[in-house]
Amino acid sequence: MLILAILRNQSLAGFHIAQELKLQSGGRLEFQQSTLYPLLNKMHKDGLLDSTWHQSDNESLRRIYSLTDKGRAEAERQIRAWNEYTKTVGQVLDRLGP
Amino acid sequence: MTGLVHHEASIIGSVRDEQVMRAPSYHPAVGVYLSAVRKNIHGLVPRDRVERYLSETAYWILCRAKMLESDGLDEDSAVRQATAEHDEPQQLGFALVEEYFESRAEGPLVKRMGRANAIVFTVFGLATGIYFLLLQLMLAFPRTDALHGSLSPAALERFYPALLPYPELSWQFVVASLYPLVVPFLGGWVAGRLVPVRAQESVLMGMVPLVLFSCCASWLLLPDKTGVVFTVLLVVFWLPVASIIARVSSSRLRTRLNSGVAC
Repeated sequence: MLILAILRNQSLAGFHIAQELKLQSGGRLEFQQSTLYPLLNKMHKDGLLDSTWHQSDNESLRRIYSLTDKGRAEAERQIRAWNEYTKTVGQVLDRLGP
Repeated sequence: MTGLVHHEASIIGSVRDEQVMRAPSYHPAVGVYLSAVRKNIHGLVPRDRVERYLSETAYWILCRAKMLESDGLDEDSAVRQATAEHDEPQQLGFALVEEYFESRAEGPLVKRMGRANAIVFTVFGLATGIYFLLLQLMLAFPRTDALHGSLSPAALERFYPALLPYPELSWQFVVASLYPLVVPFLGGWVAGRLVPVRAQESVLMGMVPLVLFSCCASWLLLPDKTGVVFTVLLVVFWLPVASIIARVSSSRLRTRLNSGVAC
């Protein structure tokens, strides 16, 4: 879900997706290449992500990932479900008291 | 961060599949690391894909090195540290091989199970089906010969809960007894040749539905308690032996394919 959320507004290479996850989580979520790529590959296979290979003049070849329409819809669905879930859990905890 | 990425995205150009990739000269530490990764994927992934994976890996390391440089490290130290922080070459190699392997998954069953699991499921599914048919033959071609063992059928049943499917001196008995003993070795070897990484895990995952199926089907189809014995045999013999053999076979295949790599 977090990967989909990150890619909602931008297309990124694997490294930058990992950096965004690390940055936005305050360093708590750290993905290595070997961990992230199977996830990206699975989402790609499921039709949630599109990818294109790019290369700038002086840099290495890398793959840039972006959301497909299906991925965008899935991102919205998962975020909505997560928000509802955390809201519900919060309500229960509030009612139970400290 | 995001701004930087957007800036980069604006200056990059698309690369066509058939385009010859430029091979930038990397820092020696990165070169050594990439060679180690290459050793783990050579022969298992097509050459153009190997170059792409390595190039992408280099990009990952060099991006990290740039960040370390901006934190105050000199270029050499930054690259060395970024390389040291990166995945173990073998671990990354396995992930890349697996990614390539699974990216070729086609068909709903393969997509759902994963390609490696589906291969194991097919290999052992066929083997199981053949054994079921073999045991069904005793219904179609019953042998009425007497047992020749020193134990009476009643005594024998204390050790083997089902009736022996065939008299011990018949060729049917030899086939029915040897087949389940040989299959985990042969099937595990074939699975290891077809699944390049984590073959043993695939054997375990791919055989779980078969064990469940065998448990139900053998109870219904096979005579007496033979089916139950077969299910037990699947769990305590086929599963561990096949996974060990698959691991050995897969490892030997990787070693053979990787040995041809020029670093």
